Amino acid sequence: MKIIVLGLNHKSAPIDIREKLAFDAADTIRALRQLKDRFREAEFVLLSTCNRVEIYSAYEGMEGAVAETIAKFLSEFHDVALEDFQDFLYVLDDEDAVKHLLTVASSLDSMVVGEAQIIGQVKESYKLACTAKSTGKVLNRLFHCAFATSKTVHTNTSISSGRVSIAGIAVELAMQLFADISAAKVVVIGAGEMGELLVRHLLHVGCKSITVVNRSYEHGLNVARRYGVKARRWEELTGQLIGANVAIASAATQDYLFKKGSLKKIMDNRRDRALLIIDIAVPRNFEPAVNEIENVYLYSIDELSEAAEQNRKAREEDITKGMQIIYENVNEFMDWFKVKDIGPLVGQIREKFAEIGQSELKRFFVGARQEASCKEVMEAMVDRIVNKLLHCVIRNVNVVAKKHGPAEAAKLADSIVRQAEKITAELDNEENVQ
Amino acid sequence: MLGLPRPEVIVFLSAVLIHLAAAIVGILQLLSGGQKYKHFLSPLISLAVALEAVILIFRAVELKAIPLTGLFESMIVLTIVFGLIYLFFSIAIVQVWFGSLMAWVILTMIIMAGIVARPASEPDALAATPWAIAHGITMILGGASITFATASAFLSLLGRGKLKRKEVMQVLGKVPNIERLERMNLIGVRVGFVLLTIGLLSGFGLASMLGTGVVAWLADVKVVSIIVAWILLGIILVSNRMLLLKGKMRAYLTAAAFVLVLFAILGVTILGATQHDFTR
Repeated sequence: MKIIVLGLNHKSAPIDIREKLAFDAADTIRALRQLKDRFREAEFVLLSTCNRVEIYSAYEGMEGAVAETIAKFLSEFHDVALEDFQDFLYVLDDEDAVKHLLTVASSLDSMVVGEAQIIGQVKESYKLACTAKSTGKVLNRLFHCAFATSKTVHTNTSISSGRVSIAGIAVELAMQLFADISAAKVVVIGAGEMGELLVRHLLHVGCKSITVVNRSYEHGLNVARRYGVKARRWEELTGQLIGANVAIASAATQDYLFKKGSLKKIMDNRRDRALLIIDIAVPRNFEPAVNEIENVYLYSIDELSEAAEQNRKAREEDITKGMQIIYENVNEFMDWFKVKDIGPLVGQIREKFAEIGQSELKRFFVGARQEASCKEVMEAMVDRIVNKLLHCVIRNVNVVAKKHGPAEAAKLADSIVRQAEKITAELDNEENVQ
Repeated sequence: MLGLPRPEVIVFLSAVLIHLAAAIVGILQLLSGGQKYKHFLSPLISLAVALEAVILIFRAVELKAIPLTGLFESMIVLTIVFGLIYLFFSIAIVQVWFGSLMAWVILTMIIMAGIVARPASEPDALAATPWAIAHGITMILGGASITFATASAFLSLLGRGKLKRKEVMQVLGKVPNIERLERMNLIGVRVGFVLLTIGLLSGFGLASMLGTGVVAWLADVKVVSIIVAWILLGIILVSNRMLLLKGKMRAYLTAAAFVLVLFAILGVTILGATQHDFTR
């Protein structure tokens, strides 16, 4: 049996290609059912998110190039020419495919490493596959292994904490100071690119009251409309600061907009409520001495960069730790995968050994011995001997499976079964002769 | 721990060692940043709480009464209360700082209990009266509430200070949300004020029952300390209402009230300067 993953993601394909091959829940179930109808013995799970589309498959004896078959299926399902996207596809098999899934589920392959959404999306894709009845023993085990690995990675590392961008750090600072970020009032001074980025981040975390104040009111209004926030005229800046919790300064000025003295007067009107100022303008809009005012917390772009860099370094260590956990779990899964097909053969060996035991007992308990009182005790003893000998044999078969692969183990198990059958046949012949 | 029976000593020292282990786990948790050690904290604190309950059971059996009149017993009860607060809230509060902080607060309390440990002494018949019971319970809970308010105030001062000094990485994810801490501080002060009010009133009721007169008790250092702490809490609440109080000043006043309460509970008793003794 083999495991394969075929797909594309934010690293291998642009968004317009990913969009064409995306699946919603209904499409996912339909696609999986079609795949299962075509390849009854194979197992499939389809993972489709905004950043990736991947099909996981476990199969045996599928004829032809499996990857090409699945790629053609994608092309037919979405009515998109294969040539339009085949260069963006990646194909991984067996251990690499297992490692890929565990890495994806642990959010180490995500656009934002450590993000919490992906594990929910992987679980949802597995759920849809169960609904479509397209999973089986191998993918069931694989996906459960992925869920457990993701949990271990998130528990044993700080991968999901700590932002690595300036905007992310600024938002975290706001969330550190104010209990309810959605109720915090934000004033954005200037309508530059960096200011817009911060607005996007704040909107993403639920901030509802954002006001843009720009020298050019029309430009400020355009930016405000783009994000569904308010705009005010430059003359209203002081009033906006009096009511704000967070001020993002990104105005293009040569001189400070506010010095310590002028901001102190504003703070006196605020009844000393805390004010977080993120000054990302160069040159700065706020005099550094402003930080000395009580309840004012002023952060410049350099200070935020330093914090982001520290987080990035910590994140790298966490990624290394996370990958170690993933490798351990990949090895554990592959150990199971290699020996799982030996199960039925081990069952046959067990059956044949038991037959030999029974044949010998039958030979012994003839005539007057049939009614012997020790019959049951001896049957139990023979069972125990057979089981102990069987245990040694099975252990060795498993060792061969791990060291040399399932094919070699299957050959060994098969040879043991045939020899046991030969012994049983000889015993039967002797019995018939008697 | 002078003169404690051997079984009590063994159980108490075991509880102290377990709390020490929990405090070390708390440090490891803060350093690692992840939740790897979280699973050790709850079992350790549960075990320690169980051992502390065993001490109270020993005392109850010995005294054939509820063991709450001695200072050592009161401290043990406080430690159990904080342990239960941790176990209850840790289900909802997943941040690593919560467990780490609580482990150290509880360790400090159990060490303080060790300092004032004395053998069980029989309670005065007075201790079983409704006034005394109400007084004892409200004072213990009031002390717990003020401790909680002070811990919140301390953390908020710590967080604000570090943010001011731009020590961002020592705050983000490690110290709780600052506004929330200040709200918790205010809640602790409010609850503490109400409980101390009831405690003082029940204390005056007890004094009236004894016929000693309220004025006589006002000469007791312990009583005076608690009254001053109560006044401080009142000032915090009134000033806050009138928006006269800044966040920092509120934190400092809370800390001052806590010091007075601590002095009233521990200092005065150790110095022997109180007649506030309900044991024979």
